[in-house]
Amino acid sequence: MGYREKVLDKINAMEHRADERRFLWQTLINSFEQEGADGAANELAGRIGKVQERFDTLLEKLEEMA
Amino acid sequence: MFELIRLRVCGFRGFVGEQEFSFDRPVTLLCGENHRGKSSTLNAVEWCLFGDKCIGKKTGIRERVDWEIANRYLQEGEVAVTAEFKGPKGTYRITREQSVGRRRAAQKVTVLLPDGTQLQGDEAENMLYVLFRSSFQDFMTAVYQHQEAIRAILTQEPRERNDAIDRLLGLSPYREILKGIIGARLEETLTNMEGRREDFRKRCEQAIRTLDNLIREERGKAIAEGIPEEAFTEQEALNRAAGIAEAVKYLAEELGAVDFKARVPVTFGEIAEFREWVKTQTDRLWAQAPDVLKQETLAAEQQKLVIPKGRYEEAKGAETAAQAEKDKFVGQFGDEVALVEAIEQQQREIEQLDGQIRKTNAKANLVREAMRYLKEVVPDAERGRCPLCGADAPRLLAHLETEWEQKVKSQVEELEQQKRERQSKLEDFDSLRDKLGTLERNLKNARSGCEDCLRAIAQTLRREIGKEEDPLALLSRRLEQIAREQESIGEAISKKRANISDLYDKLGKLRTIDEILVHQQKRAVIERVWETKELLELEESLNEASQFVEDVRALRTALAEASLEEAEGKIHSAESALDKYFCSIVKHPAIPGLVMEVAEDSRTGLNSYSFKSKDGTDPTPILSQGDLNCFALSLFLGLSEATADTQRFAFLMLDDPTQSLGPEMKRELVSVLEDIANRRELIIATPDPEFKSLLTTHITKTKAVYNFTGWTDKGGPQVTRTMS
Amino acid sequence: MNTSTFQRLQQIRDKFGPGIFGKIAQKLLALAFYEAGFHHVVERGVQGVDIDAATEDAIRYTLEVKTTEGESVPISEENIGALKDRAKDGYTPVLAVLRMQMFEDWLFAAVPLNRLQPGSVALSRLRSYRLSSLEASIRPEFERIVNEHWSSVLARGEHYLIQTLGEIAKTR
Repeated sequence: MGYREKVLDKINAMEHRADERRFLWQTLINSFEQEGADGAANELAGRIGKVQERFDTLLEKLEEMA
Repeated sequence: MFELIRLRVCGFRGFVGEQEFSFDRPVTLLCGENHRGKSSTLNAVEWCLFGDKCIGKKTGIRERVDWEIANRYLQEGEVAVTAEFKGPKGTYRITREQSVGRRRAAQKVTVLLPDGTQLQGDEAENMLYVLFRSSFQDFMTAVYQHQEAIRAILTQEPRERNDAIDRLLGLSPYREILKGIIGARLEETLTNMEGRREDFRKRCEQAIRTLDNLIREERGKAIAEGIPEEAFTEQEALNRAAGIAEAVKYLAEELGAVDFKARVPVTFGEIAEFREWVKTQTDRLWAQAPDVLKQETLAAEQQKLVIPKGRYEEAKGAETAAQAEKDKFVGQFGDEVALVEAIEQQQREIEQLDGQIRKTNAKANLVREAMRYLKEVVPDAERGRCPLCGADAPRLLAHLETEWEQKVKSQVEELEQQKRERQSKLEDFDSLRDKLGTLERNLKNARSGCEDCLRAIAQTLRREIGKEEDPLALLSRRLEQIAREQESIGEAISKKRANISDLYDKLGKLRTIDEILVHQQKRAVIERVWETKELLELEESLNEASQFVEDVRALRTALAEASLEEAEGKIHSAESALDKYFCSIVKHPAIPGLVMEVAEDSRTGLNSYSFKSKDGTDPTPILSQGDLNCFALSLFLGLSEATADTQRFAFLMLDDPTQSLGPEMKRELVSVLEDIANRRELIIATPDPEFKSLLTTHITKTKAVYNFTGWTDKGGPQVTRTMS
Repeated sequence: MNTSTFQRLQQIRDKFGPGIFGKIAQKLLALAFYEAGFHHVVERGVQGVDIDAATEDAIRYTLEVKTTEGESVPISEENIGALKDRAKDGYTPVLAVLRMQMFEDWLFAAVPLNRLQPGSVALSRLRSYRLSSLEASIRPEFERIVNEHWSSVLARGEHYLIQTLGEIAKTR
């Protein structure tokens, strides 16, 4: 059993958010397979980056309102 | 199990044309200096089996980043590697091809099964896994020991060594993914977002507190001004504004402004502007009010009259003073005529005295000459005679001297004295006359000044002033008229001023209420911000980020646990073989056996390896580079042995295994390999002639030796084969 | 919660100190659960979990209540143990945290007990386990309860709330 499966086993055993984490693991592996550790880092940073962008826009609006 | 029987390499890395290798002996040696193609031969087997999986960052091997497949001197053609294996059902041929010159060219893989079935593409790739059940990591762990792996183990840096051991154990994917997770710095990003939200909250809180303080202060002021609590409403503010507008209109009427239109604010937002409007209009109405204008005109006229009056009085005073001084002088010393008479009198007397003095001087001269003649010219004997007639005069000189002393001299002196007195008096009279002239000029100037003031008064009163008329009285009369007019206007103005003052008082109270309400509004705006959908969405984005970080954290834990479990499993399976091989090769007197342990680095989740001697001591400080190499070899051999039952490949490949080994260790390694050769096909690449010699002489199995004697860019490796 | 409710809570905290305030907040929360339609609410001042709340259709929560001004809360072995015990009876274990800063409000987090370690738990970590719908139903009720009872609480302290809760429990 390769590393993918071993980690997947552990995810499946999680009580909380197993589906979401499974999907995240798949995405992470795909990025890793293509571009190694940097690919994985960029994928994760990109995803939280999108949330942060939204956060920045909202915060800016709130600053203007206040 | 699958034995490697043949390898055909064309255009792959150091190879230009096609080169074939037969692995028809239990042991195959690839010998030669560095950069002759030995490692490329072993890499070709790897690439044939795993393709892109053995290239790039994901392998965890630094040298595999931007690893070139095609020979860089070839302009066209194909890279092709064919590996033939003898398996349970016959010969399996695997060919992997790629176009030269295109870095990211698609690979073509073909698998030819013993029954003649040919598979290509994904089918072929899947078949490879079905046949060999091996990932690239597994292959690296237990079949092919790379020289890069040994090189990495030899580093002193613990983090790099842990990296290398993970790679040796086939755990690079865990490690690399964990590094990727760490490198993404998600917690930092989340902390930053939380921090900025908190900063925003604090700013809002500070604003609320400041506004609360301002409201409290203004309320205190308002209550002190007599504004009741119930008045702090928008409606009350508007009502008061309406009242003020009414008062302004009434003021306008009082001040005589016709057609004045009062402005009444309709909404609370207009009140600030309304307050400014009230101030501006009040000032304007006041400035243009007839009473006020009249009052200003009267005051200006009054100012104009007071000044010439004062000047006239001053001029008059000066004239009176000059006259008095002259009169006093004339009374004391006489007028011009008297003074001129006195001067002339003195002049006449001085003339008379001059005549007397001349006469007296003539006589005196005569006496003086006669005395001198008698003293100096006439001899002593003749001094008793008159110098004129010669008569006897024995006492002539004495008589002359007595006359001189008693009469002539004193007479002259007296006359001189009288003359001096007369002259002195003359000077006095001259001086008095000059003084009188000055007093007369002063009086004339004072009179002239009075006339100027009189003309100024006439001009101010805008009328002629006759000689019979008293200008001061005229002025005083006009000033009294002005005073009476001012008094009557002043009363009216006072009343209007009181109304304005009252208006300003109301305006001040309105300002206070307005300020309170504005602060309350600002406060409400800030509070409302925290109920907006944007705020909700902000919280949701923070929740999402936090959730994401928590998910990744969970993955990280799973990765770390899986990696640790696998490491522990592999170490456990290989530990006795590891110990056996290490002790066989190294024979370190201070290390009676080697135990390897693994733990999780709590900060990163990565595996952290440590060694212990069987006696419990830490051997790391005394492990040499050669010892570390032996450890790497022992681990590889130990894992190969541990996985022997499940291993599909019947061969082991070692690339330059004797880095940093001394002669003794090389001999021991050869002994170990002799033992392994009984169970596995060995393919060993080495540039080390000593090791080659030991292998040739001490491995009892038959060997094929490929000598890599040279390399050219046009021809690639020059390889010859010998047997033993 | 709005600023005036917060300022009222602050007054209570300033008068009674953080320790008693925590107990008062817990009792006010229990009242809020009643108002939100939970028919069975047990509030405990001493041993065991702080609040159990259940609706008629068997939605059950067991809450460990914490108040803080900072950005983390301490969780003890006992807290975790008590939550685990109630979890066995079918209650969803929840950490209920009130951060006593302006514009903050109750946070209800259903942290999986196996991920909960004794020590300091950062509030930012609890975000990923928030029960948004529970927060949406309890927060407005809590605000109402504070505004209704704050002056009596200021005057009479915790005892007033003990009485009030007792009276409500009798009627349920």
